Amino acid sequence: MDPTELIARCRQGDDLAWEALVKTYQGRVYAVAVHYMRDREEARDMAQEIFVRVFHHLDSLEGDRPLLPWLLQIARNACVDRLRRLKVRTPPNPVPVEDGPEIPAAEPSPEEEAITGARERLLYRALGTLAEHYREMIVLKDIQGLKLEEICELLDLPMGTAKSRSHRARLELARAVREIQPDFGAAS
Amino acid sequence: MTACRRFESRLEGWLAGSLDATARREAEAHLADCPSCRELADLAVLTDDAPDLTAGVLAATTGPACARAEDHLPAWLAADLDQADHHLVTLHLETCPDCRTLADILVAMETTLPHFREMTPPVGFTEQVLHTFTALTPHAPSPKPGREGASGLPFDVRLSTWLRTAWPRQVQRPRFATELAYALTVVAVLAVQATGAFAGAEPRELLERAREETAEQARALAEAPAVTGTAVTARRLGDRVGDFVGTLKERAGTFLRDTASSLLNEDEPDSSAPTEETP
Repeated sequence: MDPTELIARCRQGDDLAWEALVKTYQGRVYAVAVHYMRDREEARDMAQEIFVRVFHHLDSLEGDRPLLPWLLQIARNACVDRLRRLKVRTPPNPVPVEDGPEIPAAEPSPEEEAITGARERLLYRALGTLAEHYREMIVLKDIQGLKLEEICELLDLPMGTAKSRSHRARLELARAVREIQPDFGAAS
Repeated sequence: MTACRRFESRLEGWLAGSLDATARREAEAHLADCPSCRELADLAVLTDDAPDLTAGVLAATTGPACARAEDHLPAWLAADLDQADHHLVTLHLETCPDCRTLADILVAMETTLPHFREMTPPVGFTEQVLHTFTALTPHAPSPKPGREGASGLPFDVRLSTWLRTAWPRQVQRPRFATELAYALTVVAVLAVQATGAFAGAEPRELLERAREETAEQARALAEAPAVTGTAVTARRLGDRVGDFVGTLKERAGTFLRDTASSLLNEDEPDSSAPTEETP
């Protein structure tokens, strides 16, 4: 069904339409939550909270705006809010300077185990080493496939900044991958 | 222009074989007659077999160009560079295996990252989400609450939703213990005023009882099985309350002594010399 019609039916209180919307977009919403939270349990709670927000803001979706960017915006804002709260709650761990950057864990985390495919697991691990604003850009642009214009609107960034951040994020990710497995590109 | 200068200007074209027939014949005729230009041509031909000096020269001058090439790689792959920069990066990649590796990884990422677009949620996720909305919309599933959230929903439904989702997070906030102690103190003060429980008590006795009550609340908070941060906060609060009550007690005593002293002085108006004894 056309997303516009789906939303219209949801606004009218059509349970079936709402169920269809949840089933259609839960994979994407959950994927966004996993990439932001990097914890399956947190991501599950987060994804549910995102759908609650979507439900409560159905009326705020303007007629000519596509559903997916709007949905991802709500997902992103909810995740950022939760991360902010978690940071306030959790005191930062003191890390000695000589320890340097984070060394990727040799043992796969539960989240990595849930990802099928060695290449995907490796990429997921490399993503975890990126700064948050770079990881966010990868999630929105390279994973979810949003256009730069949509990302500019979502993150309130000028086009030039968004473009350079996107390039920088991909480069940093490629460097992180090279650190872990230099022949990643050759194996494709 | 002398014949030698003309040959020098045509040297690169002659070496590349790009001269037209007339120019090539003139150049070759000049080479046959001019030993110095022949020597120059021989040197130029020899440079084709010279070793690659790029790395050595760069090391002695600007350093390797990899950093800049890497910075350009994403834009190079997206064909987002101007023609000159695109050409320079392409040339660099022909001789730099490290940057070539990075470029290959970037290409591979383009095909692998979209695999993360959707992930299968845990078993029961859909049912859980739909169940939540059944609770949110028990009678009419009309999602028209506006920006204020579920303002159109019954109070008990909103309260139960809030208790399920927001309350556990509220309890874990670091300032929760302080806020709870403050609220309890306000309630205690209001209760005392309303019931007159301390009516007629002496000031000293009143202070003692207030201190005991507050310290007891703080101890109870500290001993309660709660988050470690909460217990520590409550213990500190107890200590601070104890200090505060001590200070209050001391000031009250001083005030009472001063008041009594001034009253005694009023009873003896003829006494001009101030007494040094504390009443």
